[in-house]
Amino acid sequence: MAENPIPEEWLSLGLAGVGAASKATIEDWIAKQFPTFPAAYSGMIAGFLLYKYGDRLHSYVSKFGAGVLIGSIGQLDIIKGLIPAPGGTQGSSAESSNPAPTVGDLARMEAQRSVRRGVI
Amino acid sequence: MTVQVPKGVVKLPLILNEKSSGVTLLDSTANVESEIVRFQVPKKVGIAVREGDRFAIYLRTSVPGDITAGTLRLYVMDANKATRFKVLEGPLKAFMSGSSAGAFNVDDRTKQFYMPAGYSRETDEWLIITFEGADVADDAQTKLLLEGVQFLQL
Repeated sequence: MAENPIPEEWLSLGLAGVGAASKATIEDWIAKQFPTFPAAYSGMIAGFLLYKYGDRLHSYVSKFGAGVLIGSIGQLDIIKGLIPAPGGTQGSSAESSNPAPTVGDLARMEAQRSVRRGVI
Repeated sequence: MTVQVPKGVVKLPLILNEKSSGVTLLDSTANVESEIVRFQVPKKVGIAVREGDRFAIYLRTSVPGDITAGTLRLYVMDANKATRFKVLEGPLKAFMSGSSAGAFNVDDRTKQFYMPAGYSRETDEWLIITFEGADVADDAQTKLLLEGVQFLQL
């Protein structure tokens, strides 16, 4: 039997990458089949099931599922909120996706401050 | 939550006087509330006047003679002057810092007026000062000082 030209670990990594890239497609499919199911978690559950039971079909399916699972976790709001958006602030995803404050916003915030005056 | 100043915005002191860019002075009309100072915030600029910032104004007639009686008001308005809020209203003397005989007395800290609360304006919005009194304030004699900070979008 001919030796696999691609090392196993690179193949696993590639399959996981394909899984992560495919997670949106999988989530869309689940959302259509089960409209009431929360979309944010459908990819995670599908990824977990593929990872857990994919071996029964083929070991590559399990690795693909691991990619889906990791990709879905990375897209959760709670995870995205930990990573500050460029020019923004750290916080929830809603905050981090906000545009940077304008000069008007900064002026409004500054107007709430008070200037300390020394006792004469 | 801490707010980071975004890249490209600088915070600088704001000291408006009668010669500052964007400040327009006007004569008053006797016994009519009339605009004597207009300031429109430049493009890409936001200004803030904070609680404790200094404000002083000195009005004189064309003779010239000191004006000490009358009512001074400071308004903030939107870009179209459609909405306005009165920020200050009081006897002129309360804002004169003890100025007299042609001397704008802004160096005597015991006689200064300090803003009791802060306010802000952004691009194209207005600060308007009006005067209502029997004497006619001459624009060429008006002296002004308003402290604050400004944010410039570079």
